[in-house]
Amino acid sequence: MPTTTTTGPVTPDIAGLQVDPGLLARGEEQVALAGMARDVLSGSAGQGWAELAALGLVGLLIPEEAGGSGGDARDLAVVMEAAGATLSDAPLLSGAFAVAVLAGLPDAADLLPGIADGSLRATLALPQHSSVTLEGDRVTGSAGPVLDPDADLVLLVATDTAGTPVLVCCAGDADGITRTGLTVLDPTRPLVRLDLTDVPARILAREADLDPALAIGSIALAAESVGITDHALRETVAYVTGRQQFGRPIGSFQAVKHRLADLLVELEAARSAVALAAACAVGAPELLPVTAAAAQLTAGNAAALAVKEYVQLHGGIGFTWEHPAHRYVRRVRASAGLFGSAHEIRLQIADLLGLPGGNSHVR
Amino acid sequence: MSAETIVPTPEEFRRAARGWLAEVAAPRDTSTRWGSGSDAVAVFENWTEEEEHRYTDATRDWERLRYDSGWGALAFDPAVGGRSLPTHYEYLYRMEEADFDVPQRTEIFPVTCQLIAPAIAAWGIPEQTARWLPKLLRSDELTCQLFSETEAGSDLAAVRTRAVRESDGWRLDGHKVWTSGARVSTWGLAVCRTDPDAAKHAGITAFMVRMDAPGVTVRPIRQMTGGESFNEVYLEGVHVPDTDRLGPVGEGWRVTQTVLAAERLDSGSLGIDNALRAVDLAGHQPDLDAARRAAAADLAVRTLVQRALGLRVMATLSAGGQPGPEASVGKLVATRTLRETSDLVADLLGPRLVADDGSWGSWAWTEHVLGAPGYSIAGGTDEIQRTILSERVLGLPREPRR
Ligand SMILES: Cc1cc2nc3c(=O)[nH]c(=O)nc-3n(C[C@H](O)[C@H](O)[C@H](O)COP(=O)(O)OP(=O)(O)OC[C@H]3O[C@@H](n4cnc5c(N)ncnc54)[C@H](O)[C@@H]3O)c2cc1C
Repeated sequence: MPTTTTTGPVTPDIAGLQVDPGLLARGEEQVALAGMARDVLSGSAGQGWAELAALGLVGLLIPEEAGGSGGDARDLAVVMEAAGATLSDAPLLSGAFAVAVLAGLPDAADLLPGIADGSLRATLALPQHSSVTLEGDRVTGSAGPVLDPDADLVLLVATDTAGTPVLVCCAGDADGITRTGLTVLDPTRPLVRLDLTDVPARILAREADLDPALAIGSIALAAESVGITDHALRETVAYVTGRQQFGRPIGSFQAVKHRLADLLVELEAARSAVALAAACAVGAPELLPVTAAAAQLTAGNAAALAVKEYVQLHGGIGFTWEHPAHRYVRRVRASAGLFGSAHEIRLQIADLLGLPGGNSHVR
Repeated sequence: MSAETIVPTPEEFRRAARGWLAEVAAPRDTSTRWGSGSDAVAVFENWTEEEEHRYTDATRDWERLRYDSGWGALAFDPAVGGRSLPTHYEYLYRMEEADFDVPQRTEIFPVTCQLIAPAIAAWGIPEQTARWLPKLLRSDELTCQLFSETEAGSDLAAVRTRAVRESDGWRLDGHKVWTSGARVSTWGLAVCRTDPDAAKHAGITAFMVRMDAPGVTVRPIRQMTGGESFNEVYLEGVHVPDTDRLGPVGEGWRVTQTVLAAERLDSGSLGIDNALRAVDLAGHQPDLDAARRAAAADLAVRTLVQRALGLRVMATLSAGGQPGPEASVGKLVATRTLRETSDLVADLLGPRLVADDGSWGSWAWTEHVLGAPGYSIAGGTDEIQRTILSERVLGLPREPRR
């Protein structure tokens, strides 16, 4: 075979990764935010959206002038990790996607204060799950599964008559929208199907590039997976330490210990991947898409392993309805189904890296 | 206050490091990285003794220049040629150095400077730190690890090499194996049993042994790569003065732990360069099917994750903390990267890894594929790392121990 001569490395961006390590560390404020979010989200009363908004958990990415907390992706990751650990049923993830989309749009500035104070709950219909057309200022089509059936505001990507994708929003209860609640695998994250016929819509951006916002959403999702992994590992370690069989704690058997060590490795890998992506969101935007996808992949894999071990190492108890493990299994499976399986995300990353052979329409 | 006590900001430091490097070294030519130039990806070098000496000398010249110019031994005391900078400045320096064409350190250099030297700083008495550290940190005198024995590998505390008191020192008798870099080392840090009656971990003492002392015999061991980067070392009636004992009598286990903890921390970046090269290899295939694209993407992600772990360790160190689990998991992540790299290149190269067809960047990968398993064994096996994580980090009940 002849020697290949060349164009240089295919992946100069990732090989040359340069990020300030301080951006990957949690500062005091974030530690405090993590504690607060955990306390609030694990509260048994179930929290009202307004309460979460008042605490600043909804408008994290919204500037202070618009009533938000003026935080960044690192703060979002902190809160989403707590949401995952507590398996909160508050629609924080869909809120995060919506805010990430709106925060950068000058034309949407008037929406931000309502979102930040909780009076306007927004969701984003994921483009890959919707097929909507725009004619004039009216949209028609269907979208779903969409997170947060009770959202006041639905963001959609609609194709106009010229074939251009346009970001629009419409009221959740607008005339012409039929909302059908879906029977779901994960009851803590209700889903809806939206059928839209001539629904009045507000145009927010033509040819909007949603990729950076979707990347922030991926970080939020990945952080949630870290929280789930952390919860499953903690609970399982506690259980195998206490549970005795053959006259010893089952956690003293190496077959059990080494599996939990492997899970710890996955957890730390996932934490690191999320920290890196959030750091890139702040300090290296050119690496945001690939590091966000890497975080989603790494954290998704960790959570998948975590819930498997959560059930298995609890034995029969872990298989019961009463035990919380299955709720985490449901969340993890549902997230992979909605946001992309490991294989799909790998192919997406291959596209981002420009690896040959892509058909560029994997998703 | 003297100038040395002022810590530059990371940005200032990196800029200064880059400035110095630009004066003394050529930039690494990345444009020719693919398709020409060196395609070496060896994990352990397959050198003859003469080649090992030659390469070690060339690297040593560079390390001396670095030390003499104030860019080596960064974390160490000015009294031994250092600058008392925070630990992570060494990593900041290396980030800059990566862009320059300088000799790649072989294992024995970090073993000497990052593993043994800090243990001497921690355990040595002032006379020893003054005597040893400048020479070690300048790489004038390299030091190997005389730890493992045929009957004491993972169970290192089972060492049988005896050290018995004699007139002004100790007499060592025993047989060490798998000693990397013994042929080029001036010293070996030997873990010996000094009290056969004490409990296993309590009867151990550490000694710095001159590798040219009468009674020391080094015999290379051929490894699965075909080369000889480790050795067996016979210690037969070797006299070691008491002034070369490191740490108190009976405290050798703790000295050893200092070295091994540094080794875990130091191994976090293993395999990243080769993994990136393997991703490049995938990128230069005429076409890739979905499975191979996915596998290459996966490996690329691993390199990001591994560096992110390293950055978190650095952040912890720079905040004055001791890295926790993120450091202990580093070695397991690294050995997995090495394995996955092997799997990807084997899949991509197929017959080109079976028979040398002379093409650039193909057969060279045999050295990676055959070398990678070494790091899952060296420095505490993957299984031992898992036991450490489960017991010391997760707090699970300990293995039965004798
Ligand atoms: C490339 C290379 C370089 C090296 N360089 C040096 C060096 O410079 N200096 C030095 O002193 N040594 C060195 N070593 C030796 C290395 O530290 C030992 O090989 C290692 O600690 C394992 O010991 P062992 O070979 O006796 O294997 P064993 O301890 O016999 O292990 C054999 C297998 O059993 C498993 N095992 C053992 N105990 C347990 C347990 N409790 N639970 C579960 N599984 C277990 C191991 O994980 C392994 O898979 C090197 C080794 C290699 C491969």
